[in-house]
Amino acid sequence: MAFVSRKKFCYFKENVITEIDYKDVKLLRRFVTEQGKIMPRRVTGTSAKMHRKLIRAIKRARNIALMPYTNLGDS
Amino acid sequence: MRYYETLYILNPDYEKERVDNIIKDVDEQVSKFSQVIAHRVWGKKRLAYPIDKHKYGTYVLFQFETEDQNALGDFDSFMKLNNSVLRYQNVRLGAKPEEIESDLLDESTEPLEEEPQVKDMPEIIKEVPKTPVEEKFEDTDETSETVEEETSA
Repeated sequence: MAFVSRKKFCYFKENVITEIDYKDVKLLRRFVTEQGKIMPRRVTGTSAKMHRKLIRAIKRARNIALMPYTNLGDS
Repeated sequence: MRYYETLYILNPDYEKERVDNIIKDVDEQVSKFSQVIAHRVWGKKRLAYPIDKHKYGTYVLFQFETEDQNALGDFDSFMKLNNSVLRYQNVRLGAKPEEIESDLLDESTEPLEEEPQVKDMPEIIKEVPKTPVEEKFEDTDETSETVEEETSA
């Protein structure tokens, strides 16, 4: 069980996305855990700049009930 | 000139006529101080969490531009006081909104069950060790327990 380092890359830079729309739930869903928590940058490899935008988009989506705040229980 | 986008949720029980009336109301309210770019129903969608005990909601997307930022406060209170609006969110846009992508709007009403598929994620739970032996033990335990319960009862 040797540790194999994986090359991380920013999804948004790779796909040349500069703005993240909070309505694009399909995209945002990639960056939250099953419980609905925002994944850390160290896991997703997102660049700092895009991570800030991502966080804003996810929080907006949560506010308008497009995404859950939490998936625990039957909410 | 600034561009804004409001997404609001209407009571899902309203029929089409009533929804149209509310949209007209909002339109009137906003057109007093701004220019409406787009205003359309996104569709009935399942809410990620219940709002006022509603599981579903009719989403309406509304884009407008204005110079009069003071009037936005009025718009805010108008939306807040509108009882048919379950939730609304006004967002300032960086640039003039393009045509709303149809594939975004056509998205199915139940995207909640979808598993997140990220190919670059480290596979944390890749190998779950199979434990058929333990399962067998559990099975026997359960049966014996139930038998005991029955006899005691």
